[in-house]
Amino acid sequence: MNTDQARERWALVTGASAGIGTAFARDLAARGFNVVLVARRAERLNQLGAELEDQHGIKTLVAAVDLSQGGARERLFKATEAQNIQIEMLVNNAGFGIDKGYTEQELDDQAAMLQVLVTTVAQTCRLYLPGMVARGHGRIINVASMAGVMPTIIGQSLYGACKSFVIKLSENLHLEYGDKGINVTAVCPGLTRTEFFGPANMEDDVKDVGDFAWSEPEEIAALGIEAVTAGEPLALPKGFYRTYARIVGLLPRWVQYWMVRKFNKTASGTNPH
Amino acid sequence: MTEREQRWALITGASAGIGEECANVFAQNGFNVVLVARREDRLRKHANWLESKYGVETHVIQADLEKADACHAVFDETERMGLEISALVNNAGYGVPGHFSASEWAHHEASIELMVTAVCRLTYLYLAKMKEHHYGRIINVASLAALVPGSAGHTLYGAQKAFLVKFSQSLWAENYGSGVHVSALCPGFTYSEFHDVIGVREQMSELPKFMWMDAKTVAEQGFQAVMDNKPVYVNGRWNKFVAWMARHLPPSLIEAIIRRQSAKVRRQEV
Ligand SMILES: NC(=O)c1ccc[n+]([C@@H]2O[C@H](COP(=O)([O-])OP(=O)(O)OC[C@H]3O[C@@H](n4cnc5c(N)ncnc54)[C@H](OP(=O)(O)O)[C@@H]3O)[C@@H](O)[C@H]2O)c1
Ligand SMILES: NC(=O)c1ccc[n+]([C@@H]2O[C@H](COP(=O)([O-])OP(=O)(O)OC[C@H]3O[C@@H](n4cnc5c(N)ncnc54)[C@H](OP(=O)(O)O)[C@@H]3O)[C@@H](O)[C@H]2O)c1
Repeated sequence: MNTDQARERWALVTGASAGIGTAFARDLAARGFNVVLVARRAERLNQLGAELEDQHGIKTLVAAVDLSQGGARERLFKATEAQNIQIEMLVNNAGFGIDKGYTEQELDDQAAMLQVLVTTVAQTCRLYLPGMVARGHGRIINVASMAGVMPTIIGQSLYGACKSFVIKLSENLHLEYGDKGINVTAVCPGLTRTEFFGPANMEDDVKDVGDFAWSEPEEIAALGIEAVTAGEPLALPKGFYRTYARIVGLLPRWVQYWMVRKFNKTASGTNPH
Repeated sequence: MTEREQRWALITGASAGIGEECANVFAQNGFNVVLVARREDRLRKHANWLESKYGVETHVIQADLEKADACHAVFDETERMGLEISALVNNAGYGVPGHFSASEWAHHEASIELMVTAVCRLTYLYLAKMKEHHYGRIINVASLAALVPGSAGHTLYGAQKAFLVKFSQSLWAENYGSGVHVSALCPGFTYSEFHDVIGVREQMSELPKFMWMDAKTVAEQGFQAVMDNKPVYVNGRWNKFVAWMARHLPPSLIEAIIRRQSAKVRRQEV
């Protein structure tokens, strides 16, 4: 029992109550990790926790917190510390989208977005890094987005910037802590079949997009875990997005900008928001 | 009075360095200026100088933009005074030196509040009016650090500046053709108080001269860039070259360079 405890491996997944986060939790549990499940909806987390314990004989800890609130990250950290849980794998996944142009959005929504997508990501890294450094081993996956890689369209001005932050932070942490046994990866999903689009009011915008552009959340989780294990700081979905990024990356900036402006024009013409 | 003479530019971090020079350039080009920073005495002195030198109107607002309500307080004040802000320069900023996990979170968080949250908020508050008036100029002072892999001490800073570059590019596209221009300005090493504030002046002075630019040139180029509606502007040939290399060199080579750079220039902490 004691030796087992010493070998206990814990992962922490934010936004574990849906979509990509649930997929991460399932994948990590299947690999034998105990999992701290973080999100606002406690019932869902409890249900998932029970399911994972049942299926994989691992332990789970449910932390129902609202990551848009100041103090939430410290409370989360205290909760894991109190249980003597050492996080080996941190998955910053919680997130949401907002539609509309920048000045048509609500300031409160923007503030929440910055809290969840920027402050939370940086702070959880700051909180869990020292332990990882001390143990000489750690894995951090930050879920960014293709919106952080590619030029963004109307409605993504803040979201895309947040995701660029996540990508750059991950790259820089990888550089700074790579030689201390810490691997950091930004995984950049493209369109993924989750609950993302309902709250973001984007269901109509994406409903006609062809299958080639969609991933399943399980694919994104596997992509992230494989990339962080291999020590790659940036992971894009295979196929369409990787090719797209490569091609667009080769284009001169002014062509990229021209494309975005064209797209925005059609978008603002056909789009109620 | 022509319309141009009534235009106001609001500059954050106008008490030193690049911000102070931005205030000069806007004043020189006929803008009245609102100067914002924490050190009121400095702002007042500079405001008086600008009034006598360029004959523009000035207004000073003392504000600590790391504080939650500061942006609204600044906005309320310019509204109350009836100043129509046509240009906004989000410049206030600093780096937190040392390893990411060596600094207190509170310190990091304050820098996020200043360089990310306050920028977003001020932009939000003033952009709506600019769109109404079909004229606006927004400069977000980012950094070359946004475009190159970060060495230790630049880990969070680079991410914050990458945020600003992406934010500017997106708003640039979103507002294209509306009369509102948005530019991210990416200076490299610039003579200012920046490196005194973070206490690395000595190490930095070992870097060769050609890597450095003066704040005046940086500000003048920034003004021109936003007038020309350039979404991202990298100052100076050397910095452009560095940015280009970061895009085109193999990542492994860049990594090796950065690791070496970190070890050499940055103070080594645990
Ligand atoms: N789906 C896509 O096409 C796509 C594309 C690119 C990137 N992404 C990114 O992938 C990540 C996961 O999104 P998803 O597609 O899986 O969306 P999702 O199905 O809507 O799940 C979002 C998760 O984030 C949690 N969350 C949101 N706000 C939170 C808060 N304030 N505090 C705590 N947890 C919060 C939600 O839990 P509660 O509501 O229970 O709190 C939920 O578990 C996000 O970072 C998103 O930006 C998604
Ligand atoms: N110098 C460089 O090598 C370099 C390179 C790339 C980018 N940059 C960027 O350029 C911008 C200006 O930097 P600089 O080089 O001119 O540095 P600086 O000489 O140190 O000036 C920084 C300015 O920001 C203001 N500021 C700092 N904290 C503030 C706060 N909490 N609230 C309001 N104002 C605050 C300071 O005024 P008070 O102290 O009076 O508040 C000062 O006016 C920064 O965003 C920096 O990241 C600098």
